[in-house]
Amino acid sequence: MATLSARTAYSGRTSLQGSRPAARGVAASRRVQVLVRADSALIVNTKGGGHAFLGLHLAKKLLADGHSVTILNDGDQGKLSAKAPFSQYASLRGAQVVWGDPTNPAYYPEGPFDVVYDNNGKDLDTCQPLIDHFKGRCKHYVYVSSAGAYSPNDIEPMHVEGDKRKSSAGHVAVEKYLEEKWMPYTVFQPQYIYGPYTAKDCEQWFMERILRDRPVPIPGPGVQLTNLSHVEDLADMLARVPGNYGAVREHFNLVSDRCITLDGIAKAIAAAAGKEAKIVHYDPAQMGLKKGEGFPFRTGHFFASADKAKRVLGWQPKHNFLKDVDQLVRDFKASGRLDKQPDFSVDDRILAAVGYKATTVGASSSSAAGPAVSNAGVASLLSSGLITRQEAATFSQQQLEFLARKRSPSPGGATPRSAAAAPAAPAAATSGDVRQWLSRGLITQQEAATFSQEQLAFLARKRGA
Amino acid sequence: MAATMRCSVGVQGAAGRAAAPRALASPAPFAGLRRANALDAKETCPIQQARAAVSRRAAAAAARAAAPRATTVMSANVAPKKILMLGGTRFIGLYLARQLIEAGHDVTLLTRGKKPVTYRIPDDTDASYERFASSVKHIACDRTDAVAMKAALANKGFEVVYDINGREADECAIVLDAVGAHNLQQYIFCSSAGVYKKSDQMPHREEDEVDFKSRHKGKLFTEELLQQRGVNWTSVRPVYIYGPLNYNPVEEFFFHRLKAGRPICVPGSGMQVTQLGHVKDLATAFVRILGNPKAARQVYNVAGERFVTFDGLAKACAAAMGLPEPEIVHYNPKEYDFGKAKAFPMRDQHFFASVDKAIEELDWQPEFGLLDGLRDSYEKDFGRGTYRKEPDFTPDDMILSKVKGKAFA
Repeated sequence: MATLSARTAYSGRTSLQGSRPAARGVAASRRVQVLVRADSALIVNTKGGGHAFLGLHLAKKLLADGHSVTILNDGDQGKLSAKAPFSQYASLRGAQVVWGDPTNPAYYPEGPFDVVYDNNGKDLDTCQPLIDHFKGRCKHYVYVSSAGAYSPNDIEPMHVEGDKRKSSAGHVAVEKYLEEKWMPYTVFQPQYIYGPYTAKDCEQWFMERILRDRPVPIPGPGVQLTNLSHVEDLADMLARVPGNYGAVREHFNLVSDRCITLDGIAKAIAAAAGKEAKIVHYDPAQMGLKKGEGFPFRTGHFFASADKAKRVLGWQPKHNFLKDVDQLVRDFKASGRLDKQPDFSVDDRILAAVGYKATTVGASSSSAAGPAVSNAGVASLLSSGLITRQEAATFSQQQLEFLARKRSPSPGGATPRSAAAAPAAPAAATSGDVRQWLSRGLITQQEAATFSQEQLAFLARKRGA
Repeated sequence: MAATMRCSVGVQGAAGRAAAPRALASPAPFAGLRRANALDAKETCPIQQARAAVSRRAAAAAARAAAPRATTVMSANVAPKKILMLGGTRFIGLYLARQLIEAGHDVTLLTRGKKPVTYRIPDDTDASYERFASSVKHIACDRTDAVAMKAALANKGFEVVYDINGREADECAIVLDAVGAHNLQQYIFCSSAGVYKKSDQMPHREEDEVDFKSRHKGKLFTEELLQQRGVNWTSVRPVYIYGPLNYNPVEEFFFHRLKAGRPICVPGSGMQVTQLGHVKDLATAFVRILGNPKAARQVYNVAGERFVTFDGLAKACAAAMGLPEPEIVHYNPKEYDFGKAKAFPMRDQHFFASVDKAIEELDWQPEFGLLDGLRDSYEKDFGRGTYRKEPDFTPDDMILSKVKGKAFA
């Protein structure tokens, strides 16, 4: 890997040492200098999906950096030109756009090209003709692969470049081919991308529900972490390849340096929209969902490290989801999508299966004072202290009975639940306890007057922790 | 000479093993090293991968020890300093004091004097302990006693203070007043990543919001005081520190249960993500700050490079002990009242921080990945029959009774 000495940049980027924030990302000893010059770039772009707008924003960035840009876009120009992101091609000043089949060299624009970006192919059949054509004919061959090709690791979940990949993944076959062919490749591995002119929903799935005051069904515990990255940050990373020989034969995760929990996405959007997120967790394995149904993201941890890009490419992100969420909500509201009626049938199926019942004003269940029971069965579950009022107000009869069975002492005389609270304490609480809980504000007078001792003990434990 | 400064205590174990060839095998789940882009798709069993990773690490460490680094190792080129260390005798200080002595500095430990100041630790050799014990100095004093501190420290010419056990701003003020500003070049403070405000967006980065209500707020006030006083300070925020002689039962919690053949009770889903940092790597980071102009008035997160789930940590501890995967029992902590007993050693939330700033600015890199770090802790401590706290399995039995219907038999 050749290291280049420092040169003055045309574009006004400060060189090496400079002020603190700029230098923070990269130590003088390690950064490979970027030669700034006018390169000729070819972007082979996909016809849809989460990557499509990467091509648009990359083109913008390369043009702004002073390079010349040609785009070869897959797909039918007639069908796609009116849609985002392709509709924005008209705004790219100086870019040449041609439409054609990326697997057919007859469509390949006339070069020469210094750098080729394949932001299209997902398997070797699609990518090979392009690779073969440009072998020996470019200084950089960039392949936008996928972080989905990492093998999941439930112990140390963060994906780091060099970690084990799924051998069966189509993208991995392409990466191997690039390696075998000794291409001057750089592989980027993106995850979920958001930003202007996308062709595929990302955070919008959450917005469709939260902004309509619908519950958000999230699989699993909701603590799963994922990367959501702003497309401009990623375009910036991709645009750092031309002239950077430190990038050759390297892999980079194409992600933000922050990850966020699934619940956190919902909460952030709700806060930005001035609403409350009604998150409902469920076990996807119990739902009998078909592929693509339910939740749009992976259900396990799915996040990657961006440290290598910072070190080797001198990249620094400008965005993170929490910083952007207000603007994203505004954009969504302005898009007119709230006037449409999306299909929520899968949501409804999931919500029914978990026994979700919305609390609405005027319904028989209420969260205010007063027992919220609709029939004797539920009343007895309540008074036995096996369910809380909140649950009685929200869940279906079926769900409540399930919970009651789950929480009851099992027939073989196993330790009753209340024994877990105080070792060797009897199941019932004394009135002295009730007075204490009242004075500590753990239960209300209303509750003390209405509930059984066991129910009060339950509440006191729950609220006192 | 320069090259061997890096981690004289602790490299011992790693470099001692035969250096295996640098095969580009699939990285182990626990390896944690920055590795080459190997696209090896071979399925190898996790233990083999782990061993391969450990020998790669050993080879790398040996290579580093053998060949001087091209980049400047700051501490090696730093002239010997007169150092005062507060809290040098329990855990972090043990390794830090030794590294500083090896690097040629003049180190004084300030303790109340209730316990022996020097004692042999598993990482010592006869020669290294002899050097350490004969070089390190001691001042007995109560650091909260301003008058006594002034009497003990005034005009002693201390140039650098390592404040490892300071908790409140007043304690720091006492030290500053006692040592005096005249000779003081650097005040290096051990804070905690516990100061970060809990967040859904992770990891914690040094510029993130801190929580002035947390139980670590004294550390924040200390950082503020140092800044106000115009001292050349640096603050280090570790996450969960582990390693031989840990007095906080982090890995010990798991080791006790695994040894007893008990299931590991993990709150919630077990998918909470956290991070461990080996004490020797932390000590090295502290050494890298000494005499480093980049570190002036900076805060650094210091821990391992990778993050681990709660369930994953249980599995990694078992692997470190050479045991098969443990049984893990999940429970809802809200359903229990454990009283004062701790059912689990870690906060029930995501808790991990980015260390890329320390790596970049301090020319530092963690040597230990999770598995070899836990192995180091086990082989030098718990595995030898030593530990700090007797286990209390009461919470475990409460959980097992409820979840499985009976306590552990």
